[in-house]
Amino acid sequence: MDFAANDEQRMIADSLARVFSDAGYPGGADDTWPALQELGLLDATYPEPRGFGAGMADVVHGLVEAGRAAAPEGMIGAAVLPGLALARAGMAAPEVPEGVVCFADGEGLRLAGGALSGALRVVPGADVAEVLLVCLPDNRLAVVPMADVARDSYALVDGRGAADIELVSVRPAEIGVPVPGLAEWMRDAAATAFAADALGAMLALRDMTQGYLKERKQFGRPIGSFQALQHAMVDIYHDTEHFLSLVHLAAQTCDGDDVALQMRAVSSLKRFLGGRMRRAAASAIQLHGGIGMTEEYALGRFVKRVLVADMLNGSADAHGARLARMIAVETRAGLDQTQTQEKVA
Amino acid sequence: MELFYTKADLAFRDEVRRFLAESLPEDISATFFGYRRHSWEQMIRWHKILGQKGWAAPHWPVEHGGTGWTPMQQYIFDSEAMLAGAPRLRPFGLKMIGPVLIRFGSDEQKARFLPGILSGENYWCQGFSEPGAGSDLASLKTRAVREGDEYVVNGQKTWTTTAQHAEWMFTLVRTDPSAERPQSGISMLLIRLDSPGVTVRPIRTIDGDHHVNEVFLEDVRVPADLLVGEENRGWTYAKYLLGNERVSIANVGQSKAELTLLKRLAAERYRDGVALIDDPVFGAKLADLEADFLAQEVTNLRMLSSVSPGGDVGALSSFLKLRGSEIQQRIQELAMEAAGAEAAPWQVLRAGEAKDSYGTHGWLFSRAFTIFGGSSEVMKNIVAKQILGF
Ligand SMILES: Cc1cc2nc3c(=O)[nH]c(=O)nc-3n(C[C@H](O)[C@H](O)[C@H](O)COP(=O)(O)OP(=O)(O)OC[C@H]3O[C@@H](n4cnc5c(N)ncnc54)[C@H](O)[C@@H]3O)c2cc1C
Repeated sequence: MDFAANDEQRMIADSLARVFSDAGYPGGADDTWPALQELGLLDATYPEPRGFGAGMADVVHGLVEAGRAAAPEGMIGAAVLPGLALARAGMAAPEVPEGVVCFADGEGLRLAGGALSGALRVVPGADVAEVLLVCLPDNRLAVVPMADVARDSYALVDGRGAADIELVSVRPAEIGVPVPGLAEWMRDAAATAFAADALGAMLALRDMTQGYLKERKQFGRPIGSFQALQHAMVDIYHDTEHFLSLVHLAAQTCDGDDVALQMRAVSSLKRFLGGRMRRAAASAIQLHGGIGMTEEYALGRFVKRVLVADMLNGSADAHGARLARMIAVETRAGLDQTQTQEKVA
Repeated sequence: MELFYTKADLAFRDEVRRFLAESLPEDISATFFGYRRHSWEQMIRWHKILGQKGWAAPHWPVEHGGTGWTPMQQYIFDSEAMLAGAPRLRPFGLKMIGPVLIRFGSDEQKARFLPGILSGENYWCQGFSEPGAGSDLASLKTRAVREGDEYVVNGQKTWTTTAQHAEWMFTLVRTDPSAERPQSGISMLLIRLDSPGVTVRPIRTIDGDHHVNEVFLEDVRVPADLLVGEENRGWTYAKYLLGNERVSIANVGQSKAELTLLKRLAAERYRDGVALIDDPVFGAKLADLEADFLAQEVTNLRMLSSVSPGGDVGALSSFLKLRGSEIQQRIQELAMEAAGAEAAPWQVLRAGEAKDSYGTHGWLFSRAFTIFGGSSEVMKNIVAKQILGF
């Protein structure tokens, strides 16, 4: 129960870490996408033969490394999620061998006469994708060539790419069969993947801050000798450990079949991320003083990753509300059960 | 955390549930589900039932009466018992002095004391804190002077929880006032509370209850064979004991049960025709608590599974106590809010009735969770120093 990576997971995570450190991340300008592609690291979640159908619990270890290195590649949107979506939907990879595919939540899209219309905002990885996978509200996965849509590409605050997409009566190349709960599952999987990345960023933030407190001197001594700062540092450390637990818990529930637990775990994770982790990231800046505010200093890259994970895939409030609804439903079910038992007795 | 249960864990849980269904007296679970606090008598009765079953001290080594359960199984037992409405056994014998005697005590001490601790026959209290020695426990002044084969003890202990019920007190005393470091002059003595020269006086706490006491020690003669381990090594034993105490205060199993009860309370209370559990503002607080609890539950299991049985939990215990105590306070806080005006009357209890578990007094007493067993500030000092290396 220590969530340590198994050999295979460790191998993937270590390979990723090596590629990133060779590229000089955080901050290096290299584009590691081809190297990752060559090592087969980008296709892990794809069903065979393109990948090997890795699950969420398998890839989180690698995503932590991406976050820790603040890697600018849009791995989650343009590799992990599309692979997971295809595997979950039981579909083969679309006909672009090795091509970049991205995934979007199709909430709000309209399907009329076999054609899709509507707008998708802030789709991670859509800037580089050749194919778009959209999960329709009726839990079917649609495959849409990016050539058929209008896209407006840009970078997110943390440097990773994304795009807004406009679909005007686009006929998908393929539409799968409905898979119960697919849309909800994909939303939870996406939230978990970004949270795993944010965990890596938080671990880096935590190490940087701890190191800085020991190095930086004011009033003739390391600022880490001041108790107020030590306690703030303990809070960051503490919350990050709890966040780590939630990331791994959520990942395991995504691979399992207990949907209620999955929703509870993922919403807890997002609530925790938007609350305690955002505060921890803010505190890390505070503990650095002015240097923490500079674009140049690496700290900001990590903070921004935490913010992106916080903002995407449902707000902390939306997840808080979902969690509260689940608590109400579960509590009533528990009460009904005890009342029935009492009656029987 | 059923997600992590193995087949064996699930079978074990069923066994625990069967046992609880058969053996947990109805009045005891009814107390819990009636939002009331267990009485002392109920706690002792349950302790004796567990003692007979051989389940009172799962964490002890098997040869001394432990069960050999894994940390996961211990947690399953703990949370199932609490969820069924069982009282929490008091930690002073089972979690504090018991493991110290097992690790550092003499064979005679083990033979003499462990069976009574296990069975619930003998009850212990903790005489560490003094008026002048709280967070800075090592500054304690209670003096023990060796005379022949006895120690003569003089001084005062305070905040001694349930000394009014205890027969024995494990005590830290100063045996070498000239030691270079204050920590090196401290010993641990076992003192019978009915010894001549011992006076126990009640202290009322702000919840109106009698939990704690002052214990005065005047020329109390303690046979030298009641010294634990070696003279002047008491601080080492105390640190080991405090680690176990802090893990026990983090108390995840009990939080799980109380959180479940809190949700029931919220489902049964209405405000302007809306059940509290459906109220978005209250719901958001519950959701935050749930998220923090889930994180704590998994973190606790994750970290404790790395400690070998009977091993020293060290600074980890300080880490775990921090959030554990905070979560328990927030459960009390929301229970008080859920009760609303009903939480306000001071005398919610009629004579002879058990105290309810959601009043303002519940909130008031819960303030102690971040004070006793080492305050949150001191826990953070320890984590900063021992885990983060400041
Ligand atoms: C209900 C209850 C039950 C108890 N039961 C027992 C018992 O059974 N046996 C027993 O031996 N003791 C018991 N205690 C005592 C408890 O362990 C002490 O209260 C605790 O260690 C704090 O000591 P203090 O009360 O003297 O507070 P102080 O040490 O005076 O602390 C006052 C404030 O200063 C802060 N502070 C102190 N030192 C530092 C520092 N270095 N850095 C930052 N902040 C600091 C504290 O966190 C606190 O906020 C109990 C206490 C309570 C309230």
